[in-house]
Amino acid sequence: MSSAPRAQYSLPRVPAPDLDHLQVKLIAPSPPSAEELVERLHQHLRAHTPTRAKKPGEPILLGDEIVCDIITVVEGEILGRSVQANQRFEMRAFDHLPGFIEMLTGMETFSARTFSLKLPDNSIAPALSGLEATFYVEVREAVEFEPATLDDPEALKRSGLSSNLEEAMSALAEQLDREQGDELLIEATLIVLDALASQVNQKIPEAAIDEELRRTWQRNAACVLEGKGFSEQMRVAAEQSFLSDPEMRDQAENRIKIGLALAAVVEENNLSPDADFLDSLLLATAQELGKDPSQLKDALKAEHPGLQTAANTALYFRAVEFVMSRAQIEVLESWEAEEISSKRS
Amino acid sequence: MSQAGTSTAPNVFSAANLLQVQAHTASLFTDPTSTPAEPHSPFDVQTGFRGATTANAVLKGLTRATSRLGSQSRSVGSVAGLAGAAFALPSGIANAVQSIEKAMQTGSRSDVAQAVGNTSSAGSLTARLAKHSLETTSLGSRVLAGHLARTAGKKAFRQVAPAASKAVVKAAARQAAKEAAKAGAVKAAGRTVAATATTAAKNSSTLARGAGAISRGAAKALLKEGGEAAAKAAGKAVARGALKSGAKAAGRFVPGLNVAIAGLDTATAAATLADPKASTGKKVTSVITAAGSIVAATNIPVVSQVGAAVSTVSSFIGSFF
Repeated sequence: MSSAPRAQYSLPRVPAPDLDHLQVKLIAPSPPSAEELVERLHQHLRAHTPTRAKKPGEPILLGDEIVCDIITVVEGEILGRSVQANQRFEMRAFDHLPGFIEMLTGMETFSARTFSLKLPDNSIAPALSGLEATFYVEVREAVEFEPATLDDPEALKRSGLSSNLEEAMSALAEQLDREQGDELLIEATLIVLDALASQVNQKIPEAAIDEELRRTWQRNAACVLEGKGFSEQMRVAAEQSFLSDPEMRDQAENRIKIGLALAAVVEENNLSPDADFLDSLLLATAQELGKDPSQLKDALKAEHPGLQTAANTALYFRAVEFVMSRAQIEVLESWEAEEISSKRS
Repeated sequence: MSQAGTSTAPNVFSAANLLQVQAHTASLFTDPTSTPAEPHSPFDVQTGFRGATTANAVLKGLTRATSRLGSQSRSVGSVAGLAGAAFALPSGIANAVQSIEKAMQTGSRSDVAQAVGNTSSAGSLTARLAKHSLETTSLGSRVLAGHLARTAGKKAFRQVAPAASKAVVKAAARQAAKEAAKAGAVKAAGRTVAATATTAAKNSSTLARGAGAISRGAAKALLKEGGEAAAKAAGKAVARGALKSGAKAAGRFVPGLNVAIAGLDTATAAATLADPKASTGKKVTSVITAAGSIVAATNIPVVSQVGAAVSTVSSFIGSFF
């Protein structure tokens, strides 16, 4: 199921990074805008609106929520990073991809269709701007929502918000604010890890980057393509396009550098896996699934790579935590960053 | 715009392939370590590179391929009902697959390879953003490039604004102004907020339950303060991120044009959590994988394979489970 014979590689050893001078700056997420608040209200109300699952064959319409598998082909190549099963979104036009939703409108629930669109210049993938993309879309589920307006007092009440618009908005702003707190903490972690990676000067073998991406591919896209009955040749070509995607290679190389730096931290400080982290993750997952954490532990035991993944991740988080506790982080508001920028120019 | 029809077309698989497939499928069925086929769930989130789980994934794929034979007898019922039926396949799938395979045969691959090669240094998003005019500021290009790259993904996913009445827009605008003022005030709040946040962060059980998520201002103060409390809080935030499902996780990917590896993994975790056919073990593993992926953990066990870490990890498995 994989392509070329695997090249041998060995990862370089890197010296323990200098944590005493690990200083980073980052920009805080901006407070929610009016547009974001309206969007959130829309999402919140939808989450509490009565729905009906559509039967196979029923046409899907604007406003429905659909679950679909998508594969994108550009210039004769599967866009490796595009392949994903069970993408879920509302049938509402995407700013970045005009025409996409229009092509899905009227499709039968539980059916597949292939169509082409020209990618706009403001595309998220700048290297593909202006090119024609062919999308394979397989709609697996569609759900219809009872129509409602955003200021319908009944709908507001049903969703658990105050029927007073001002109060409802303030509750939603609070919700967004909490999420932004999490976002900021995650962003800070990533920037600290990026700074760590930038201390790694050793060359990362191309074969290691291949391996890293191949594993991501196997976990996500490969099974989707197999499930659709694509030929071996097509699957190999798709994997190859994923592996040669410069954006993906950048990300993979950065990940490996971070891993090497953290490995050096683990070694120097004799770190062991973080049981607390794993416990809290299992607890939170158990609550999401309505199960007991001990049931999850048992389930993990039965899952082939489960235990190893859990233990590796727990060690990884211990190392991340160790580094984060030593980093000096400065958070700027976006307007502060702009001020600095304009003073300079 | 070309478009495939939706009638049921002849099978894209040859008979010889199918025979092979069925033999393979049968042998997998007799293997007690393999899990039953799940035709509705064609992807196996925790597929290892080799080994049993790969076989499971193959089994699923092959089962779906063989089941195409039965697609003409597809009965109409609820989707949930169909999901349970071994021979359910979406209508029009054969034509759609053929069309996309045709799209792959047109276009000059060598030209594309050339183009990709040319853009590898200048064309990637990060590289382009690094050349952003702000590069020369004291912030450093990495910070801005990283920030812009990460927010670009979210912006790209943005859908056309929902229709809202004047009253709703006004209320939102008023609240947005208040939020902006509040953000400015955080600067002054400083230490007091930090102290409160630290206490909150120490109360890990509250945080794990999600009820004690940290607000934007408190997170800012916490990061400024630094140390263990900030580190712990960041870990919890990642855990919550891995569990976000549906629309929230959706913000991390763009349909048909994904931008980040972490986005692939969180979307897969969200899909697995929502999949009634996925085992609990798979669900948990997908959440753990997503949590690692959010903070850039590799698939190659880089961190856990140095020196003493190998034995530390295996003894951890022994004691924790």
